[in-house]
Amino acid sequence: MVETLRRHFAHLSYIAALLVLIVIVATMAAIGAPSQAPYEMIGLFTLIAGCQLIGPEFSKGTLQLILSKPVGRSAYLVSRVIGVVLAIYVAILVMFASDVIGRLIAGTTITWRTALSTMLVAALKTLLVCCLLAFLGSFSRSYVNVAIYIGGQILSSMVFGLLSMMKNAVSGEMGKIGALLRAHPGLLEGFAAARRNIFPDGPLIPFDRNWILMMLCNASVALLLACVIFSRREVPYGAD
Amino acid sequence: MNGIRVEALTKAYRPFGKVRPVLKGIDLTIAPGEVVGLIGPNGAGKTTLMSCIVGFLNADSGSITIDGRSNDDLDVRRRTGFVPERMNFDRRASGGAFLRYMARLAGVPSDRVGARVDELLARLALTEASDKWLSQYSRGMLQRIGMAQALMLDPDFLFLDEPTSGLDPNGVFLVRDLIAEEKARGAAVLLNSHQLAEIEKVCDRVLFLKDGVIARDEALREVAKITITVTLLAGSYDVATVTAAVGGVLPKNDVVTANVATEGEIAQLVSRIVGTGAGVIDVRRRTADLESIFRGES
Repeated sequence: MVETLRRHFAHLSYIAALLVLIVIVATMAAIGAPSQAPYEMIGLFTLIAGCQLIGPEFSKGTLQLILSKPVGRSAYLVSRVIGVVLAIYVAILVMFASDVIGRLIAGTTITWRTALSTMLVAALKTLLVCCLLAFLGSFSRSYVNVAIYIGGQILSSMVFGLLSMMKNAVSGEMGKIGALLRAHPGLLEGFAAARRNIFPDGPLIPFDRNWILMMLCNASVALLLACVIFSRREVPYGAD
Repeated sequence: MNGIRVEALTKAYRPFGKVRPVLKGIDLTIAPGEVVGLIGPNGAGKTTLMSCIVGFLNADSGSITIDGRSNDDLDVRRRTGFVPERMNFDRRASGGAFLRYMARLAGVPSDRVGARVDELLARLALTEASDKWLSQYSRGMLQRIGMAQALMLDPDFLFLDEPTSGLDPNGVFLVRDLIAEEKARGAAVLLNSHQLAEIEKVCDRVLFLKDGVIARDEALREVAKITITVTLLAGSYDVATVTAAVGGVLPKNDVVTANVATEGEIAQLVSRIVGTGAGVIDVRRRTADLESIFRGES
């Protein structure tokens, strides 16, 4: 965990990204923009940091060096996830502080409930995305985990949109699928629920306990699966 | 302490569902204090075998035990050192920071980390480079720091994959001395290398892996099997007298080839030959010729 944090803090692009975030957040706070707006950038930040969770270590051969030491694989994976999550939490805290300071200096109103809720949403989304990327990285190589994640997000949106349209179709082949979807509404609802769990939107109300619980549960399941798969995975190195 | 034991090990890769057997029933043992070399052509399965023993790959069948325990046991891992062929780590870490991280992973007590890292840096002649980033290290320096991390806890079992690759002669001598020190300490060492001369110098035994099986298992320093060749000065000796002195072995082209059991017997044999009045111009101790083994000639 400490090593993961060190790697991030020693990375010039991490420092540069933090500085950019500070400038953007403070400027937006000064002009009175809603607190939520700049936090969208954290999603991108999470993908960039999270994609390096385990896959590149497979490809580069770093993992073999580490796993030759008396370290439990699950313990190592969890510590890596915590390290990456904490590195992003530092960015979230910096954003929160920049938002508050920017508003104090400009004299714009601070809505504490909104600001804190936004920060919590960003923090929980970060946790879930990192755990999902760890899960996807536990059976893939290099940066394939982030490709699967983004691909899955795009594909699920497209499929959901397509199925929603097909549900209303009444004629031709589409009509048959539409009839099936109308006869079994659980299919579309189940798909939508799975999508909401894996790629969730923010909660409808601030500090929604159910939403918070869903995020924590999903992150735990993803991390547990990641540990199970990673502990059985082979880590070949070199070539004969 | 028991050594490393591999029994009936098989392993196949399955690219796109197509089964490609790599190891086809490997049996081997490495005793404590024994240095065993692993040689063989590319694709023979050397790296796969080492990966299975270290625990990076799962065997399809057979068993691997290290000191009588499973190879993925964390206590066994604590007593194991592994040097990969290429040292890959975050290149923005300094050599010292890298070793401190490895020391923490290895479980070195925090109050001893600094001292242990300094010791290893000095032992591997890297003290002056300890503050340099790994990105500034040469291939040889990376090999040496890879060796340093493997020796962190004075391992009982050492796995070395091409440890001298990319090293200058001084680096090669250093690694050779380290292997000798580890052997003297009682460590069981498995050395995978393409450098036959190196294998010949440091190993007690060599395993020739070919097509997934151990085709040859040759002792290089087994004292009971010392073969010596004594070259005599042409015309300086009487064939019958020399033959009698060496126990019935006829000189061939002025060369007497004899097997002795101990190193002391070498001196006695030479002394007996010289005692017949023969001129001795060369005495050689012959070990298994690795090049011939590799070429499949002997």
